[in-house]
Formats: sequence, structure tokens, C-alpha cells
Amino acid sequence: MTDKFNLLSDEQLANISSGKLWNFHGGVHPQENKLQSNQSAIRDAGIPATLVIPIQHKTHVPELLVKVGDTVLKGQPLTKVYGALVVQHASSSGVVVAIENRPSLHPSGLDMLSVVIQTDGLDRSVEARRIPAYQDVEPALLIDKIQQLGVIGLGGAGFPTHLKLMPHAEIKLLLINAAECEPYITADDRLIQEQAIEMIDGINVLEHILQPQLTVIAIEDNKKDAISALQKALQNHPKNKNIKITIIPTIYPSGSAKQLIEIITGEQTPIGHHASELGIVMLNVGTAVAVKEAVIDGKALTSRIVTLTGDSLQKKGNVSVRIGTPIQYLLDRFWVNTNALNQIIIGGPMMGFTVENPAAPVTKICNCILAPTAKEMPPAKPEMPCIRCSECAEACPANLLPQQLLWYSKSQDHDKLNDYNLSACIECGACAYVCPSHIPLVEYYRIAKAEIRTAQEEAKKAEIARIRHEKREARLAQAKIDRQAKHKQAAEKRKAQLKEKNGGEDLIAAALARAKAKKANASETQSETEQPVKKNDAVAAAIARAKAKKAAQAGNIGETQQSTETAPATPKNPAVAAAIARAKAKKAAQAGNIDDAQQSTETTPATPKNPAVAAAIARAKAKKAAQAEKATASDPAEETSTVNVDPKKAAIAAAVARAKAKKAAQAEKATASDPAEETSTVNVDPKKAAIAAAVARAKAKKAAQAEKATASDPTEETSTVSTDPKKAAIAAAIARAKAKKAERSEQVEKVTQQAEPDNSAVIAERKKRKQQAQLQKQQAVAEQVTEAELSPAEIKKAKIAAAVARAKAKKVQNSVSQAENEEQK
Amino acid sequence: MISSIALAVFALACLAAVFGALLGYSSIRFKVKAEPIVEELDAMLPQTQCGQCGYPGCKPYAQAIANGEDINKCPPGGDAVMRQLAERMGVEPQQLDGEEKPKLIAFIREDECIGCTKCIQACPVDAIMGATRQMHTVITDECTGCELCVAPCPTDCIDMLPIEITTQNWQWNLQRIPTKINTEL
Amino acid sequence: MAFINASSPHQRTYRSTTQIMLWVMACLIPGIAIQSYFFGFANLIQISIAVIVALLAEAIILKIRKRPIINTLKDGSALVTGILIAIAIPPLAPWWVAVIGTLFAIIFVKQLYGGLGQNIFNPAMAAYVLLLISFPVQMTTWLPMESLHPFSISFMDQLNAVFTGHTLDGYTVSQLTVSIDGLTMATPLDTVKNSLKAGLTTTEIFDSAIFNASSSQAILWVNIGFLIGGAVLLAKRIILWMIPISFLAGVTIFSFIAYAYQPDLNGSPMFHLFSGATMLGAFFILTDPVSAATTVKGRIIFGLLIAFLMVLIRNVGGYPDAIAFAVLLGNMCVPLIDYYTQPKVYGGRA
Repeated sequence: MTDKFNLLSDEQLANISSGKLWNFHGGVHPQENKLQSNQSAIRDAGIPATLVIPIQHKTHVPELLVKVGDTVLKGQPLTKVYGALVVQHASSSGVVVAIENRPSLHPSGLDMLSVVIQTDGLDRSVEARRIPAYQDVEPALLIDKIQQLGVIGLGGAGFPTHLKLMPHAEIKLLLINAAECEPYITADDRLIQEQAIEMIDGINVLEHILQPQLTVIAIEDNKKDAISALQKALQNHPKNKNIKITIIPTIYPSGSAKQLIEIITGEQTPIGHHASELGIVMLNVGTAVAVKEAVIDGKALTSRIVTLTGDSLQKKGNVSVRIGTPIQYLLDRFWVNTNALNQIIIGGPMMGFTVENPAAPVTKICNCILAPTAKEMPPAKPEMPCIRCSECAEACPANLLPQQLLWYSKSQDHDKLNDYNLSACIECGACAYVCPSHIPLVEYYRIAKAEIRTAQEEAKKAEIARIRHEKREARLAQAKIDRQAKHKQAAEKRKAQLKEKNGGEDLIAAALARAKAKKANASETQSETEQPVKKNDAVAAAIARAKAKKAAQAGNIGETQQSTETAPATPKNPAVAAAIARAKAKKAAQAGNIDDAQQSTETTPATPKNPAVAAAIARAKAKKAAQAEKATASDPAEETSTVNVDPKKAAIAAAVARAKAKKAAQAEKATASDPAEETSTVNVDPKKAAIAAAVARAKAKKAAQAEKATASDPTEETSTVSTDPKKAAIAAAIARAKAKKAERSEQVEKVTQQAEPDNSAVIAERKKRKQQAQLQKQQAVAEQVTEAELSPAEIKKAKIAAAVARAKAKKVQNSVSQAENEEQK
Repeated sequence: MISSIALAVFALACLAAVFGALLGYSSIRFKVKAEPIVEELDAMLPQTQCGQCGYPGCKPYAQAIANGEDINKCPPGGDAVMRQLAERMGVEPQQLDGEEKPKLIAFIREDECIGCTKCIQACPVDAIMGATRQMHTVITDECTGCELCVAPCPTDCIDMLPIEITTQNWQWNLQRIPTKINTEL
Repeated sequence: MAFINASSPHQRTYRSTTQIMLWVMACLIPGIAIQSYFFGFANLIQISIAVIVALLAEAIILKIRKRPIINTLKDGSALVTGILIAIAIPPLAPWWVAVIGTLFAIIFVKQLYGGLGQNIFNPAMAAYVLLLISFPVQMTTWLPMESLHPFSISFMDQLNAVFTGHTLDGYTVSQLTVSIDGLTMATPLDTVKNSLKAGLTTTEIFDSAIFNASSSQAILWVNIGFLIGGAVLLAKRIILWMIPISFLAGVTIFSFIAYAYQPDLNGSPMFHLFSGATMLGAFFILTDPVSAATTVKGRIIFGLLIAFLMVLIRNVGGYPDAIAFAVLLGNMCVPLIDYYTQPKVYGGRA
């Protein structure tokens, strides 16, 4: 990019100045069809009742300066500057009635965020800030003004003008594109005929900004009137030394930027480079006029010239249309023959695209609305096989081999497409125009280009994902090592402490005892994967603990999904393991049928073949249940009804419990690490503890919020057994939820017991009963208070409390589900 | 008669020896340093790190394929990736083991997030932002759609949503080009 | 109101594949007419046989391949193939020669490769080579010009000869090939080849009665007929200039080199240009877009290559006319030629 190898030389400029022309490869001569529209003067299209001004560009949405209900004036900015995007303006005065997604003027017809203005018909403008003496102003300021006033290329591509004017290279040649090679379109033609002077003014502004050595206006020889108007304007104009008019032969696509550069300079813009690297800036005549209006008159770009043509329209010609005018309005106003109209083409017949929805608005890139009859533009004939006649290669202005591109587009061979330079295709349509087999070549290329773009983006994403994954793995591995080192350190410290205390006598015994106790715990609640503990070193204790933890983790995973034993590799991440298990379970589920799976939500603990399906269903049901709960929670009086035993809820509970079994493992681990805690708190999995703490904090925060809403006494927020009636209400809600949950767990317990009675079930039930008794006691206390103090003002609080309760309930449930899992082992 | 047969055999043996030596030499001399196949296979995989193949990531699966594992276990990669793998491994394409789904990305319903960080720990590519007790959010551009974050969420606030079609990623599917009907016949 | 959604360009030329093929057929007319004038209307019989067989074969294969039949037949490519085969074989060859040739061209060379646009060999020339190798006698039995016939042969005689092998009067085809002078007839190229083998020099051959009797005048006129047709095709831009021009230039150059090197053994450039199927090949065979090179440079190379091979085989090889072999060899090289002659893309690396 730094290399200015291609910059035009003075000799070349002299040649260009003398009017020497070059040829580009290929090109076609379609019927011009320009006479229908270039005979009458430009009219004003009027003010439609609503204007729809799209403000979104691709996926970028700039910040809005207006909101619904605001009154806007013509030329008032609607958005802030966003990146390189230009500012959008209201194109007439009125009221903003909506800011919403509306059909866009894009071949896809996808909706885009638009500002909808209800016009008042007065067309009041904002005050223009003129700069008559622009010669004294810094170019950078003028460029900024051009961006602020929304000027983009009006030739069709819509490239922001201020970007072209930014000084990134020495500019030798300013090329004004008046070729207008597309058939039917005469917008530039008429514009030159009527506003040649303004255009020259605009060129003078551009010359001031760019300081080119030469300015060339390139115009096709089929626009005789425009040429004479230009010549006249140049003669009358004082500063015309550097402006040359070059008349070029009529051939399509001479108006394409790259091809025009080749015609005028004989140079080709290198692939992947910009014309400015040749020292060339090219702008459309319409853009030149817009620049003049923006800089000298201080007016924003709020309207453009649009050619309305095609046999379906009774009144053909060029009109000045406000940006955002719906196409339907124009069609109605220019007497469309609805019966004859079968497509609307935006742009010319060679490169234009069709729109399905005539509600789409005219935008700055819309230079022509072509409304042909079926006779005028018959639908494409059926595609026939390519006979390799090479007419397309003869016609291609980029000197590509369209046949090969077609072949590889069909076979989606992206590498070959790249070899054959598909990216150099300008989609001009010359190849498809000449194709005797009626192959829609351009369509194939567009799709291939889109596919390549997607594939490249995906490859890029995959590469990033790979790197991120690897970095993450490395980080986790490092963390593990660090943790182990820490453990070792702690163990050594303890060893030293113990030695100090006991004189090193019963050291081994103590370690052994700890290890044994822990092993007993682990084997009781978890799978038996532990190895015998080494007996002759205090370090052994630490190792044993680490192993127990690891075993617990393995057991936890196994219990959660019942199939990790067969996992081919030791998963580092429980979530990965879960996914693996899901994949396997899915396979298993394919053997059974889905009805089974759904029915099994009540009995799944006994038939755990497809936990993934069940979990999904359970999640869905839980969601539904949560909604139901929310509904009931809004009425505190009815809240007690949710406590009723509901078989459906019980089923949900069972499913949720299973799906959340992993979480339950936490509780298990907590108990597993209890003995270890006697000697070391490091033993408790810090991760899990952090999560538990986080949940607790979240709850506390929520409780605090609830309290703040009604009371200004946040000091006692942690206590739920307070005598404060409000807090009591919260407690009551929590208690109710817990009771409900207990009910559910009971149901679950029953189901599981029926399915598979076992020793451990008794233990679990005992544990559960204890919990239940505790909860009921709480409930009894809380409900007294609630009944006494229920007031509408506390409904909201109760709702929050209910949510907290649900979260808690879920957690307790997990421990219950743990019990179930135990049973199955 | 015998002597002519012996001569023929001798001549053939000599030729065999000469060409054998030549081939043997050239196989050493011109040995192409093959790119490690695991890297190559890994590059073909979609890097969702989702574990649907039964391995804890794309690299381990690539390793497994190199060791003879089936090539059809990557549903996110779909048919295209399966074919690439088949071609690279020189085996027949197989029926994909699982469904090929449209690409999804995770989305956290942020008002329901309690800030538990479980999804953050589950995410294989660190595509979830957030901290303890702070709301979490998915970095859309980094999300691979592996769904590993969905299960651990205690409040079920993570949805897998299809990627929105914008004018940026629109595939020019005009769908109703009459000319296309003929080519399919 | 739902509008049609379509891809640009919305405007197209009116020229279609069918029209191209019709133009090709129309431009074959002068050559065929001259052929009929000199050799009787038997060639029209052959054309009828070949065309009917070509269409039938194509329809059946399309039916088997489950492709649209009517639309494909309408493209006219099978017609052109049939006509070219018919022109290439001797007018009085037995009917089954045309049938076998056409079937082979349509079924094996064209449809089994995937139909129009997919075949790598020119169907007509592949069929010609097959026939020449399989039925050398029938394929080289050319009648003398009508003016040199010892008997008057009516259209009915020819018709009978094609289908039964005998004229109405009971003469066999080989008897018919004997001219008034009692010399067995062949094409000029055959004559030259055989005479060279007999030890004569070209000068002697060209002066000999046998050569003059070998309907060299007729072949010359037929070639001129095809040249006229080809010129029309060029003018209408049905075919592009690269292949015919490079081929004819190549024939001239290479035959001149050979002639200059050994004038006694090799024919003059004029002889090569206007004998055999040179003009038919230049404008109608080589320019078959499907099996020809597609790039500009590639087409020039393609034309020169075939010219070189043709002159080489004519002068050195065992077969009298070599255009069919040369074309098939050229077809084989097309992918390679295309690959190495890609044009420089706009703004691309030189």
C-alpha cells in the first residue's frame, strides 16, 4: 500500500489531457432505451405522506438524535456520525411517528431500522450554513461538512464521498463520471443538461479539496445535449483551465469505475487496491452537485434525481425525489399501469435488482426505478447447458473466464474460483447478457461470492475459536498445577505444624486416620475409584484428599449423566463431559422412541437412558411451571394454592432434579469434604464455593432490593426470621416455596422408591424428612405473620421473594436428586 | 529352451533389482515432509469444541480420527466437513452420526442471569463475559454454538438462537429464479 | 401485488443456442449444394439418414438419462452433428455406415460424456475416425465426378446403392467408382498418397490423368463452398475468427515448409488448403465450441496445433486425410491449452 508504483506520470496526464482514449476488454451494446426519459425536464416528485428513512447500514446502527414524537425539519440530522457512515437527515418537515424495522431497498428486501416521518406538507427547512468562500476553508473541514451533510456517491454504489476525499495519496486526476452506460437511465444526463453550472461549482469545490493536476469529465457520446450544455457551462465559467471534457464511445459498462479509468488513463486498478493509489479519484456528476449543495449552500443531501421509466409508467422522465419516499407513491403519481407491471427494477436493466415490496423507500443509491411490462423485459428463458462458446469471455470487461467461473461456482470449488479471480468480477452482467444458453451467470457468481465470504468468515471464526480454546486449556492446566503446588505447600506447612505439636510421633497415624475417614465418606457417597493411600508420609494425606476430590468429580459426572464411564478420554471440563454424555444419550434415545422419553419424565430416574431429551423436556416444563408460578405469585392470596400437590409439578420436579443433578454433586462434595475440612479448608473446591457464595450474594442483594423498595432499613437484611412484618413476608414466601419444593421432592422420592427400593433411599429419605420438618416449622411461623400483614404494597416484594425462593428450591431439590442418584448406584 | 527362460528370468530379476533400488533411493531422497495429519484434520473441524463427537474438543477428535476413529461424528461440521475428512483419510463418506442443525449462537436473557459464572466455566472458547454476581453476556462473534453453557445454567436463561440474517450474510437466495428449475432436471 | 424477483441482467440478447446451430446449418448449404452438384444427390440421402438417427438416438438417451427431451432436441446440436457426419462419409457408402457413425457420435461421444457442452471430443470427427478404421473400404470409396461417370446414375440408382449396395441396373458401388478411363477412383489425397508410394513425385502426380480424374476439381469447389459458408459465419459472429484463421494460416505455413523442404514428396500449400476437408474443418469442425479451446490465445494455439498435426499426418502418416485425427488430438490438448493461456484479469498480475 505504501508503494506508489502506479501513480500517474505527467506524461500520462498529458496524454489524458489531450483526449487520448484507451479500450477495455469486452463490453456489450445493449439497446439504450434512453429516449423515453431524457426528453422532459426534471420534475419534483412532491412530498409523500410518510417518509421512511433507513438509518441502518449493513449491521451498523448509528446513534439516533431523534425519538418518536419529535418534530423534525427538512435537513435536520437524524443520526450522529457513526464510524465512516454519513449522517442521515430528514428529507421533509414533519413528526417522527416510528423508529422501527421497515422493508429496505436491498435485493434481499430485509427489514432495516428506519425513521418514519409523518410529513406536514410545509417542507420547512433547517437554516442552511453556507460557506460561499470555501476557498479559504481547510479541506479537512469541508470533508467533515460533507460527511455531516450526508453526501455519498450517487452513481449507484453509494460509497461515502468523504472517504474518497480523504487525502491518502497524491491526487493527480479527478475523474467525473458522466458516462451513465446503463440502458434506460438518464438521471445524470438530465442533471448535466439542467445543472451544468452547479456541477462545475461542485467540481471546483472538489478541486479545492483534492488539488488534482487535471480534472476530466468523461461522458458517453450518446448524450449530445448534455455535452453541449457542459461545454457552454465551461466556457462561461471562469476557472476552467484544468477541466477537460472527454467524450467516450458508448459501450457498456464504460461507466464502471475500473473500466472508465482504463478508458481514460489506460491504467488498470490493481486487484485489491484502490484507484486513489493511481492518483485518481472518481466521482459521479450527481455527487459533484451534491457536494456543491453541501459546501456552498450548506444543504444536506435530502433528495436525488431518479429516472422513472419502463413501459408500465404512463409518465416517464426524471424526477427529484426526497430520500425515503416510498416507491409505491412514485408509481401512483406517475401513473403506473398496474396490470402490465410485473417487476420493479431498481437501477438499470443490466445491474439493477428487483424489489418485491413497493413500500420500500427511495434511498441515495436509487438512480432509476424501472417498471417494465412483461413484453418489455420478458422473464429469463430456461437455462440450457453451456456450450463453451466463450461469448461471455469475449464480453467480460474484467477479462475473466466466465465459463470456468460458472463451472467452479456450481461445484463450489472456492480455491479454483479464487484462482480464476472471481473477486475481480464487477457483476456488470455482460456475460449473462450475451449467453446464448441463457445462463444467469451473474447470479451464480453472486451466490458463490456470498458463499466464499461466509466460508472465509467461518474459517476465521473457527481459527479464533481454536486459539481461544487452546489458550483456555493452557490456562486451566496452569491453574491446576498452581493449585496442586499450593496444596502441597499447605500440606507441608501442616506437616511442620503437626511436627511442632506432636513431636512427629503420631504423624502417620493422624494422616492415616484422615485418609481413612475421607475414604469412607467417599466410598459411601461416591464411586469407588480411589487408590490405596500411601501410609508412610504426611504428604499422602494431601494426595489422598486430592484423589478423593478427583474421584468425587468423576463420580459426580458419572452420576449426572450415567454414561461417562465409557467416555474415551478423561474430560477436563464437566460441561464437555455433559455434552459428550448428551451426544451418547441422544444416540441411545434414537433406539427408544420419543413418546417413551416424554412419558419417562415421571419415571426417568429409573430409566435414565435419555437424560438429554428428558432434561430438555424438563427444562421446558420447568419454564412453563415458572410462568404459572409467576402468575399465581402476583396474587398473594392464591399463592398458597401452588403448595398443593400437583402430579404434573412432581413430574417436573423429577426432571428438573435430574437435569440439575450436577449441581447436586456440590452438596455431596460439601459433605465429602467435611472431614477434610477439619484439617484444611483449602480442600473445599474453591470453584464450587465461589459459586455458592455468588448465589448467596445474589440472593442477599435481591433481598436487599426488595427491602429497599419498601423500607429504609437495610441493616438487618440478612435475617429472614426477623419480626419485621415485611421481612416476615419474604420469609413466608421463601418458606412456601421451600414447602412446595419439599412436596415435590417427596413425590420424586416416592417415584424413585417405587422404581428401585434401596438402602440408600432410606438414608436419603431420612435426610429429606428432617429438612421437610424444618421447613414446615419455618412455614408455620412465617404464615402467621403473612396472614396478618398482607397488603397490596407488598405484592411486588412477595414476587421477588418467590423468585428467590424458587432459586433456593431448585438448589435444595438438587440435593434431593442427589439422593435419587445415590439410589440408582 | 531352458537357457532362454533362465535368461529372461535373470533379466527381469536384474530389472527388478535396479528399479527397486531406484525407488528405494528416491523414497528416501525425495521424501515429502508430510504435514502432521492431526493438525490438518483439526483445521478441517469447525472448532466448536462442543464434544458431540464424544471427545473433549476438536483436537482430540482429530487425533482420534488419525488413529482410525469414524469420520462422521461431527454434526456441527455437517456433511461438508465429513466429506473433507473422508477425502483426507481416504475412506468412504459415511452417513452423518447426528443431525446437521443450522448454526446457532447462545444468548443470555440478561435479566434472568444471577451471575453464577457457571456458563463462563463451561464455555470452551471463553466467549462469555461476566463476573461473579455480575450479569453475564455472550460475545456473539466468539460463540461457536456448542451449547455447553445451556445445561449448567441454574436459571435456564441461556437460549440458542439462529444467527440473524442480515444484508451482510444474506446468500443471494432469490429462490425464485425460474431458470434454476431447468438445471436441476 | 407480488412482483417477479429476478437476477440481473434483466435484458438479454436474442441470440440463442438454437439460432447458432441454425446458422451453422444454413452456412453448410453452399458446400453441400456443390457436393450434390458434382457427386449426385446421394449426400442428401446420407444427411437424411444421419439426421433422423441422430435425433432418435439423442431422444432415447435423454429419455434414459431423464433429461428434458424436447428442449434439448430444440438446441439443434444433434442435427449439426448428424449433418457433419453425413458430409464426411462417401455419398454412396452403405446406409449402415451413416447409422453406426451417428449412433457412436451421439451416444458414446456426446451423451455418455454428459450431453451438450460436456464432450471432450468432437462427435462428428470421433465417429469419422471410428468408421474410417472399422470400414476402410466403404469409407474410401468415392465416386468420380458425375461428368466422368461411365454410366448415368440416377437419383434412384444412388438411393438403391446406398440401401442395397447395387444400382437399379445391378452395378455394385465399386464398379461405379471406375471412371471412363477404366481407372479406379479415389479422393485426390488418396491418389497422391498411393502414387507417392508407387514412387512418383508430386509434380508427376499432379500432371497425371489419374489425378485429374480423381475429382480434384470437384473437391476444390466443395472446399470453396464451405469457405463461403464459413465466411458468412465469421461475418455473423457465429464463430470467432481465432480458430479458422490460425488453422488456415497454420496449414499454409506448415505445408509450405514441407513443400519447400521436399517439393517432390509434399503437396503445395494450395493443394493442402483446397483438398480433403480442410475448409469444412476450419469453419465447421474445429470451431465446435464444446471441444475447442476457449481462451483467445488458446484458440490460436489450438488452430495451429491441428494444422501442424494435419499437415504432418497428410505428408508423413499412413492415412490420406488427417483432419479427423488432428482434431481429436487437438481436443485432447484443450484442457491443457486452456489452463496455460488464461488471460490477464483486469488489474491482475501480468
